[in-house]
Amino acid sequence: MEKLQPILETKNLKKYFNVNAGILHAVDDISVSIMPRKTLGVVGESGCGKSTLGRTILRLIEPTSGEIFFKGEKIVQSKSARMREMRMKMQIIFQDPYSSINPRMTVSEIIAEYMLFHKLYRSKAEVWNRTAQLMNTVGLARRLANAYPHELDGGRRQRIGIARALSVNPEFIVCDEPVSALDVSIQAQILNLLLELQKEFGLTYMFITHDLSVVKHISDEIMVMYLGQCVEKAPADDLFRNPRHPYTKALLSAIPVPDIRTRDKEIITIKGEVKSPINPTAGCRFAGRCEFADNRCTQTDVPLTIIGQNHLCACVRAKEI
Amino acid sequence: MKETLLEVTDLVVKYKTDLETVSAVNGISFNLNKGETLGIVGETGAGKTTTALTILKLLPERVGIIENGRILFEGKDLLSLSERDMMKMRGDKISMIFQDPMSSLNPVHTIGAQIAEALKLHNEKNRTKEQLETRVDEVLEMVGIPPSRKGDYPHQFSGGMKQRVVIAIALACEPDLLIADEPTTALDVTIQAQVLMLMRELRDRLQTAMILITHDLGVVAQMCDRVAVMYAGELVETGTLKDIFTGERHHPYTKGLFGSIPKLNGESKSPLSPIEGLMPDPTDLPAGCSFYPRCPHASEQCLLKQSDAILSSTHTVRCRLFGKEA
Amino acid sequence: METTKINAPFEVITIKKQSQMKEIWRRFKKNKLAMTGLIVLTVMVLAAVFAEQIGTYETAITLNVKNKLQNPSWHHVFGTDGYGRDLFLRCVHGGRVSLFIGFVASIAGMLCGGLLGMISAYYGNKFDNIVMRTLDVFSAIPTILLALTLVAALGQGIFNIIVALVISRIPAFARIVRASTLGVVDQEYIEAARAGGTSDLHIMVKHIIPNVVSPLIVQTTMNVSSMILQTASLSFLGLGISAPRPEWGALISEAKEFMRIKPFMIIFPGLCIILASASINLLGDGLRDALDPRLKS
Repeated sequence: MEKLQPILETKNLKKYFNVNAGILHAVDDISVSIMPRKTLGVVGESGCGKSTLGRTILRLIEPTSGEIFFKGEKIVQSKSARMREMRMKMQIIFQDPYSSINPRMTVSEIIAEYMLFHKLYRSKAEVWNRTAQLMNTVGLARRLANAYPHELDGGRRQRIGIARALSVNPEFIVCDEPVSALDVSIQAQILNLLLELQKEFGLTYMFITHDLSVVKHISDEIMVMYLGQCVEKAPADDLFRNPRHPYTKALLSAIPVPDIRTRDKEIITIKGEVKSPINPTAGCRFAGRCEFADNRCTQTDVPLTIIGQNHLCACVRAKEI
Repeated sequence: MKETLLEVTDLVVKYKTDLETVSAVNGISFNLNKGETLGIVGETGAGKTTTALTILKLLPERVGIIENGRILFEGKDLLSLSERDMMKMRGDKISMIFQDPMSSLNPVHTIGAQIAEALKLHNEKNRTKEQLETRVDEVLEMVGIPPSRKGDYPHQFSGGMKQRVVIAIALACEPDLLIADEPTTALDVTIQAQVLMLMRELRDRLQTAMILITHDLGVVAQMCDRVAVMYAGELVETGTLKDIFTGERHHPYTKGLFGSIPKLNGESKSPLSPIEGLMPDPTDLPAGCSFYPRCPHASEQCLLKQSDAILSSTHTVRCRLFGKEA
Repeated sequence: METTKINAPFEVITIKKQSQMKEIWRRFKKNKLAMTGLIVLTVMVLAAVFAEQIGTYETAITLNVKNKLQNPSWHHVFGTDGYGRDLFLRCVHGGRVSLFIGFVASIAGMLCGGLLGMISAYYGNKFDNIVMRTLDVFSAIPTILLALTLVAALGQGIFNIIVALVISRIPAFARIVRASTLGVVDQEYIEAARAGGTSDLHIMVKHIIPNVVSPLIVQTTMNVSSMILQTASLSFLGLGISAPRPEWGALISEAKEFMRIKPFMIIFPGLCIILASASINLLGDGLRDALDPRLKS
């Protein structure tokens, strides 16, 4: 059998920003590969570089170094014309349903924008036809075609964003916290929609979120990021059942579970707070907050190592703790 | 016998502007005992924050109108108190923590000064300046901030630390009632855990009664003794933590809320069971049960005004499905 | 069946667009002061446009010393000037020049400055720095001084005055548009458009311009009045429109010597300037309120 090719792959992807205080390592040496029709969940707290990673992969932000492959094609050096074509295969759904759509355009204009620009259809009529079809797909009533965004609630606006992303028939979609701004009941509706769309159109997702229960629900594989680096990567169930990195453990333990039986469970609270990754020193970036840290952790960088089937962890003591 | 601290009866609050009337709170009643924590759960626009602001009488002037109801705090009717007496209550007897720690601190004053300010406003014990300063140190220590940082300005603190400062201000006068409006929503999960632990510990130590407003059932499960589920300005279900989180007999909205949360131990990629549809427009609420347009069990009877069904001495549900047992 | 499906959204879109304009007009109409401004301005513009029909340019500049310095009467509504020319006619023809310069200079300034500001904010970084620092240098020079220098260098004449005024206005417009563009480029819908593979030009035309245009319209309108005032000042200083062509500022300048004996000579053109700029400012205020999206709901 032919070996499946990953739809998206990054190799040692880095994005550094020059800021007043020094160099901010927003994305530091991230290598991922996502197989077709699968979902890679990326979790981490604010400032861990997860959104920057998503935008760098789409080259909305130019990477500092490293490689990005889309279906085997290197896209870091792609010319802007080629990149524009590629953009139709790689889309993004944004977090904020308020700022991600232009308030001066109607719902149908927003959804049709890319199709009109790329002249994907011969006539305008066909575009409007496809728009109507997309609205149907994401569950927007036809009568909303001429509504302005401010007339709609967050959930419907997010559906517009999804329809717009789907309009160019992408294969890969970066979902950047698509449900974080929504209420729970609406959040569940959107998550169900994303799962249905994945099945129907064979989509591949990179799902970025800070919400662990959401990421567990939607992902096949999960990557945990801390200060620009990947600290642990494993299949979703495996990660939740058997977290190995102290940071992952703390994260999982900190989730308030809606179950009263766990009320008095011991929460592993980690001391201190996330620092910004400006001019980081060598060694594990979590070491300062880690209760297991010893001098091995701060001397040299800790590489990701395989500790189980498809399970990678960047901790020198992963096996002992 | 537990002492009742706060008793809210038939509270109705509307926001009236030239253009429209928003029915934010539509006849809610609940009570809170001393030292107890009540969680008010609901989605955006359910009227949770309005309820909190009404208790503190901080509704926007002229627009926010209390149409009906009574709020008894230690037997005193808050709604009939003068603004002057109310000011004495705020901060001293009842204080509030807001969602956004960034905007509830004044950026041009040091945090020490802001805590001292809260203490000075309610300085019944006539503390001297030095005593106030010692108290500021105590309060900071209580929330886990080294007192040496009291000369720092809010921008020198991270989000979690700022929320600690806000908590310190709220608890400085050791109020009897603390209203926390989504205190951890703006924080990262590990920081949220720290702040929740701190709140739990302080609550137990100071014996403060608390109303915790949140949309997160997880937070409720970890923090509260009793729960009130709010939907479109009404309490659709109230009960002890056990009443709400266990058993089968619940309001369809409560069931929907639980069904919407992805389970950590559930199957990956299995569809959730969300509530279909949207929150009703608060300017044009449906007659009868406000949930019936989204309810899988809706019938004609739902068009009539619903009353609370009493399932046990602690558990009430406002739904006709349970009407027979009332 | 397909066709009805195809055509439906398209038609309704146009209807909706119109209704938005209607909505703005409805809000504008409610504002009494702004409506007064609009009516006064319309009358003045119409008078300027049909000046030739009211009385020919020839009559307005032909000397008729017999009639000089007559008080206002039914025959000469505004009286006559030192050379016996009808002051009303001169004000009408003067308005033609003043309003023309005012509108053209504002619109040209808005286009040049606005474009510069938008591009500068959109591309940011070095380009932005160079453009904005250059404009800072320009705005450090007082407007009237800059205009004076330019007119002195380029020579008198309507075109040169316009050029001078436009250049002096570019920094202000650029700054306004740059500020509002910066607020827009941060929005995720700009990023979304980029992610959709659209071009920079498309993003500017479709996303940025519609979102910065309302403050700009207001600013441009308000600016017309200051342009009229500037033109008048330049003419008053003798560097604007040269005789015998009438212009409001020039008319005041000419009336200087008769100010004591015939104050009406200075009052009437002065009134024209005041009326024009006041009505334009009222109109601008009304537009701002009507276009403000915060009032929409």
